[in-house]
Amino acid sequence: MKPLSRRTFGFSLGLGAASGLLTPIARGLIAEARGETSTVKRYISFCGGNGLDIGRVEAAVGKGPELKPTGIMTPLAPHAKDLLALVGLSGTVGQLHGNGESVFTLVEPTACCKGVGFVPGGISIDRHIAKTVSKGRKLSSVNLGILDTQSGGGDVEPNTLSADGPGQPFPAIYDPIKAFAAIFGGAMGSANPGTGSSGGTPPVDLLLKQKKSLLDFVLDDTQRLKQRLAAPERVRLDQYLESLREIESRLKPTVGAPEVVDAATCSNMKAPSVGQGAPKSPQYLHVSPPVVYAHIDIAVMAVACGLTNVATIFTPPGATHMGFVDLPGAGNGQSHHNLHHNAQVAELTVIDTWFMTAYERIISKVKSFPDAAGTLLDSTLVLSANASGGAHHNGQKSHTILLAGSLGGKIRTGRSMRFAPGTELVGPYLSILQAFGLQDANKFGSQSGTPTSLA
Amino acid sequence: MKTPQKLATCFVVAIATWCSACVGTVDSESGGSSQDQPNNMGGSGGGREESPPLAAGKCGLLPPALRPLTPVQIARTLRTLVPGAPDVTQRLSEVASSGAGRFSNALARKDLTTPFVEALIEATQDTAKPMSDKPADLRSCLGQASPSKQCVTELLEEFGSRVFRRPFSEEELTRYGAFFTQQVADFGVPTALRQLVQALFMSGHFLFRTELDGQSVDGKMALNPYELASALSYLIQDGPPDDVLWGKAKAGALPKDLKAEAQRLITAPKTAYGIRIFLDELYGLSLVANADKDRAVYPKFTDEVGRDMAEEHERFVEDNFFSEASSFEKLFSSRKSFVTPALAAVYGVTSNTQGFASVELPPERHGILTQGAFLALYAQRDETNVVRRGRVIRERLFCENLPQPPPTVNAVPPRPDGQLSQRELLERHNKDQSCKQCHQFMDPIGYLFENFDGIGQHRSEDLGEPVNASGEFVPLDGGKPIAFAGLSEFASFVQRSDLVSSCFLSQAYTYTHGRALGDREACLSEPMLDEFKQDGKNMKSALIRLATSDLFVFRAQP
Repeated sequence: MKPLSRRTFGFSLGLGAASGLLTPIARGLIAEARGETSTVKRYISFCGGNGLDIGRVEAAVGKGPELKPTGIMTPLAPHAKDLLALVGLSGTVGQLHGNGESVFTLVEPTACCKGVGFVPGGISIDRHIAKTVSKGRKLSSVNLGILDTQSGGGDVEPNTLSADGPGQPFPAIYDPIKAFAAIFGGAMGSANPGTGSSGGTPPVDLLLKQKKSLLDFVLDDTQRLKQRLAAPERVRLDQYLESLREIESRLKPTVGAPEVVDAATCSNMKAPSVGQGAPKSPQYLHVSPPVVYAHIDIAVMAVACGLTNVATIFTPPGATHMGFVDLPGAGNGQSHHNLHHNAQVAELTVIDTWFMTAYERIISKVKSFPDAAGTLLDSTLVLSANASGGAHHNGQKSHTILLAGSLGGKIRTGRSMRFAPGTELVGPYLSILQAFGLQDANKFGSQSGTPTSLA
Repeated sequence: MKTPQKLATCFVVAIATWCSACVGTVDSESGGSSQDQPNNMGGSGGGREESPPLAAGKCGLLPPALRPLTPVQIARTLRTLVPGAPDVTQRLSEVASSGAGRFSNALARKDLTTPFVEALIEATQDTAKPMSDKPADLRSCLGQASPSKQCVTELLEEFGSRVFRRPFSEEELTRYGAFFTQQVADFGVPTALRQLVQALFMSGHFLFRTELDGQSVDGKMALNPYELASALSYLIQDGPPDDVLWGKAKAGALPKDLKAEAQRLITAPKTAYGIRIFLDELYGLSLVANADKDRAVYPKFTDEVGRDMAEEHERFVEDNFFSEASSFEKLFSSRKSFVTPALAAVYGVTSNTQGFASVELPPERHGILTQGAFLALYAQRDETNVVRRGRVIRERLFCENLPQPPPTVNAVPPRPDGQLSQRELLERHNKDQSCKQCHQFMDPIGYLFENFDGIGQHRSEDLGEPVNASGEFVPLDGGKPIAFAGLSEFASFVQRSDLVSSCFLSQAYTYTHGRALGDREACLSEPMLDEFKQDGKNMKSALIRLATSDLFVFRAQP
């Protein structure tokens, strides 16, 4: 059976007046299918670690304003017209060795590397966007990455680039198999026929009604508790209340369709065959491209299937010691960190080229979904960055940001922009936030500036 | 291969003033910024700033707090209260926050994200299943089509109160009772029971330990017996009050019997999960189970040996802690340990017992300092790691805060070149004063461990030359360095050191209260240390004192 496109799926429901009974997600998709997509925007970010060598990037971008990817950027050549390369940006936060996780927050972490892992200093750009553009979606954003199991010579600390504010890391999922279950299954899965755990197959609407009455009661109970607390402690319950409301908002009666909007492609998905790997397996101890690809596929599908509008995928950020396996020529597990120190250019070139290949995979996947008159990329911005900038030593001031997608003309693609030394990341970030309708004026994280015109 | 000279260029573009920031303070690692974060949580941390001002020279009480259960505590409590319920620890832990400090029970935890709450809904649904499948087994009156109001009231008074760890109020009995009645009308008894159980386990009164109903005593707020019972049981058992402690709370025998209860619980190692978690997280050495070593260099280090090292450390620390003397000093002196045959081979002893056996290790061993868990974890895949070992000792044992290397230096340990030892390579590197500024605090400590290779095997030679394992402790405050001929002398120094003892006490305090020792409680440090020393540095007694102190029993008046 030919998979239904997002547009075909919307119309296949055959709903006109009855669309009021649909979930917000379904309503949104039908509106999109009818060409009313202008207000929906999506954001996917992809981040590597240990630095993307600025010399190789500059050689690959070419000298002219027109973008003609070569060298390590050759994998991106088919998408040259959809890309904007921002070269030579500066990062004056996150320069502490191995501490590049602030590339998305632009705030110095409040603690790092002392047995407590990365403690973010502020909200990250993906989460900032998510709080607005993912309203009504099952998940505000998905955050998938590779757990750094080797940095620091022994400490194993969870890592994530996303954060909801100071001291509030947004959890990442490291195992693609668990990620698939969490994103495409989860608590709401038991609201679908045949998946209830207490036997029998009660009608969906009855299960939804049960869940709604439970959540309504818990919400009320939590509000009552909150009222009894002193002001500083009330804040502790806000996160819980927000999560309960988000889940509760999705529990709308449907017309028989599952809550997860479900084109054929979305409904026929299979769990990935590769996982994080058993502890001490080569795939667990190193970066394995198939694992990253599995994360990419899950993240893009989560966006394409309307479960969220924001996704982040990352390889270990900072000055990771994790090397690469399953990638010929990349050093066969040799520490990525040490490859830099040993100036093993051949291996680093393979890794940098692979990073572009992975980024290209995201762009291709996004483009593979028809949407309105074009593809899903028309409403999606796909950003790539490296947490350590140009290199994890002496390179953190040289960031290359790649953007794919024009967001309806707000970003002019097919070119590169080179920035004067000292130009901070904040300018482009402010423009991106504006493109998503977030008028953050002149500040993001700890940095102030004016939006850099990307149009 | 790089030449030593090339490495010794120190990898530096010097920042001459950088190391003026080296000087840290005791307990800085788990200090306010990481464990408590009152300034970083939008006012949601410990609320220390909200407390009333102190009279000069007086210690302050902590404000009442909403204390989140950890995912492990939630899972343990579900299984304790609902026998036969599935273990949901992994399910919740996978979507929990990555932590807010060294200890998992930090007050600053913020787990209740949407994915976590979704997992919680599933977990509580599965937990409720054994109850909702056979309502009549729970209470015969629940076998009726429309259970009476009395029936649900009794259920809430018995089961519900254990979930909330306190009696239900009249208002709650009415509200929860009405919820159950409506659920019965809408969905029938089994579903209603499941809904009720889920509602209880998803309540903030379950997910947080509350400190709301204390009594005002002399201008301070005394936790009520139920709040006190929960505080004690989650500290020591990492779970809800057992029947005895619950009975004491019901009888109003707390805080009168608090010390006796603390002693009872802390002397039951099998159920003292909270203490075991503290001991595990204190030095964090169980991570050695994931250590990866170059098998060509260290053929004795198998996956199994890594796991054995983690378990040896756990057994060793627990054996010491739960013994009568509970000697802190023995952690750094004892040669008694627990090894498998494979691990025995690493230590150069033999054990023919399958599984773990208690053995006496050779004289060069000094407790934790020479365990594989420490030596293998803080080493490279194929070599020792002088800098890291030195750094970890200062941070974890002395609670001193050393900064990260500046961004412009190469922080990779020197690679073996087959000619120079790690010490020689680092001594070259430290000829650069800008390197030495900080490395003087770490490397001379790390040298002391050079008699032990990257998996903890004893060695007297390296590269065919005798190992020079002398070193020194350079105080951060500019004091006179203390020289040691070898690790044995340093181990004695550690045992005697007030800094090391204070560090342990501050960590015990942090675990007890879910927040670091702050300025308001700093005046406790000296008395705590004095009592600890007078008591022969008995760890159990120190924990009991913390769990029975005024700071544990009272809160500042809101």
